[in-house]
Amino acid sequence: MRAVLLVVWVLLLGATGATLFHITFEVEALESELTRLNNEIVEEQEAVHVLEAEWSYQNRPARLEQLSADWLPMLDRIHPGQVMTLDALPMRRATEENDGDDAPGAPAPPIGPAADADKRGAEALPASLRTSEGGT
Amino acid sequence: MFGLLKRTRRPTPVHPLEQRPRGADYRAERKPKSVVDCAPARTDGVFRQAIETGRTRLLITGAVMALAFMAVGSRVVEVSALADPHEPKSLTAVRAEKVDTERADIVDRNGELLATSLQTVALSANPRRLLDPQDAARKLASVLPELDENRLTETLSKDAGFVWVHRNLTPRQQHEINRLGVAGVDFHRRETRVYPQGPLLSHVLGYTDIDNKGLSGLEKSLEDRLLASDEPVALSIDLRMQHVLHDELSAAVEEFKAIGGAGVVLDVKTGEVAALVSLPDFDPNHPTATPADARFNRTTLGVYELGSTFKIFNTAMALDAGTVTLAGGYDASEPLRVARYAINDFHAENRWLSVPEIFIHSSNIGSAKMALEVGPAGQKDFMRRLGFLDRLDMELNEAGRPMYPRTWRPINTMTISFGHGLSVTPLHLANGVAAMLNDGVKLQPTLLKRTARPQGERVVSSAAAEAVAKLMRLNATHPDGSGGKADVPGYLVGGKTGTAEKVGASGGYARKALISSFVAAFPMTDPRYVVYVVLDEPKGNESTFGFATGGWVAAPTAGRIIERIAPIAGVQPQDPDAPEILRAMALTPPAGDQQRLASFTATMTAAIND
Repeated sequence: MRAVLLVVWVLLLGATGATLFHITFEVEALESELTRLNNEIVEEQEAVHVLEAEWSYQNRPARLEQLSADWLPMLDRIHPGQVMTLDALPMRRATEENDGDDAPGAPAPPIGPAADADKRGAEALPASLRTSEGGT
Repeated sequence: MFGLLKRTRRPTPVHPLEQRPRGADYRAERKPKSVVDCAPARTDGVFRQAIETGRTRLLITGAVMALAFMAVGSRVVEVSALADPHEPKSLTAVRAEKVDTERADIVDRNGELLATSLQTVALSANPRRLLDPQDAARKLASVLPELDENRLTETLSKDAGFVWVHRNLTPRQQHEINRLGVAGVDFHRRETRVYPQGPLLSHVLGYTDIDNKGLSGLEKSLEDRLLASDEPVALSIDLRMQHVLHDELSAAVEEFKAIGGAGVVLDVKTGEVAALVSLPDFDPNHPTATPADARFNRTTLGVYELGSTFKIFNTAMALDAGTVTLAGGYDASEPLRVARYAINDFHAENRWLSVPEIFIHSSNIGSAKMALEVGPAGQKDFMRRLGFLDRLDMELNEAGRPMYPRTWRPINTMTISFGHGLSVTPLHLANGVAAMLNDGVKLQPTLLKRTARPQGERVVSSAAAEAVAKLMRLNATHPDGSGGKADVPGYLVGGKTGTAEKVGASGGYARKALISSFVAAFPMTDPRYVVYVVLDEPKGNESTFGFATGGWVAAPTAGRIIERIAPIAGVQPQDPDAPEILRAMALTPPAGDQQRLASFTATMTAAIND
């Protein structure tokens, strides 16, 4: 009886030791995995950091202006007459064709107010500002 | 060991003659033995049982102890012989947080990156460990073509333990040097300060030395803050406005062959500097590549006599002091002679001029008389309130100290009225104009983004400030005004020219060397930004009919700047001829019995006919 108890104890002890070993190794493996991942993250962050500087460099206003001049030669400086508020823009007129496929969130307004807005938009700026040279 | 487990084994009787040491430990052991020996045979079974129990207990204890000692022993072997002899793994192996840089980033008010620190690799060598300096130099020079082989050989042959070979290696160069297999060279990770915007913000940011120590600009003045935390520093600068100012000022400096230029865009309501340019400038990535004078900040460190732009302050001062009203005026029919000086008008009208006329014709005679009525003490006090006698208290260490006469005589009062004899920095002047347009309240200018509107101090009364704003607008709209070239239809620009003669080498004023400037603000109904443009020694050309004065060279530049920054600032264009705007900008409110609107022309005609 005692011998059996002893053997059980010894077995338990052995099992505990083995489990402990196993867990220790597992923890070590996980730790090195964590270190590897953290290193990877830091490397990625450094890369992001460099790319941020690169982004800022590529987006220098002077460069953008040059690119715009090269590829969008039709765009000139913004003329004050081109600046308007959203209220000044005439609403889109509702017609039979586009009644159904109007974009959601932009319901077609009734004819009356739309015509009013149209007029208001045109009147919002004086003749001296209504030149369109900048837009062509 | 397992032989001990035999329960039936009887203890051997101790020989009576056996010699045993008589220590305390053995006495206890001997007792039961003598009991066993002397025990009668009949109780033998009971005793044996007790002994067996004791032995088993002893055995288990012994086994546990043995196991424990084995564990300790194996651990000792593991630690001393088998374990990794290097440093213990730290629990927080690598923190996966933000990139930890030595110096914090600098960003503009919208978060655009202006300065950052990047990890680079530097190459050093230990000449004492090099096998063959010449061979090493040849190999290194083959990979780093920017290094001269002969000079490198010289460096590597020195009797030293450490020499720098290269400060910034690209990853590819590092790889290739590794492949060369030169013994005695080392790589060092270090940080390099990078300015992605190049020369655009050179004088604002300043630059750092090779050890990342700030040498000028904000890099120097904010050194402690930049080193203390990794949180980026947000400036008041708007990168887009900075570009516009830089672009237009550079164009003007080039067109009029000026030796330099200064420009500032200042937020009237908050005192934030939205753009600050000084030309010529330099690339902070390579600060030593340009001559030293390019590193001089003309906008905040240079002090100049800024000329007629001072008439803004002179008029405000006189109106505030109450010595004259907008309806009043002075006789400017002949030059003013004081002692051996004569004060002339550049655009001489040779007649009586009203206060608005003095402003738009930029009459020196009228301004001098206006200032004389306030008096030297009053003027000095006013200039002190405006902050024109002290260094600007702002983030940059490059803050010029104004120069003013020690004894403030009437002649000084007269010349200072039109901007001669008192030298301030262009930023001083822009801040003074902003104070006039901020309802007469002076704010502290700053290069750091402000979250709350700062508390200012009143310099002039609301009424005087409003009158000056109207005069500035009049100067841009009136056909005789000097600021017409700066007006942009829709943005209600107001402004004042300034043309000062520089003090020549001989001490007198040099007629040909001018400081031409224009200070503008928009929209004058509710001023948002002050734009100040200064050109140092511009030369007139055909397009200006040879003139190099502020109205010809600086005003158009200011106008172009406003045209480009107004949409960025979100300023809505307004109809300049709308009745409510004309009414708001009219110099005198319409009289009760007059039904018609008082327009500028009507007011001016009335003033002239008086």
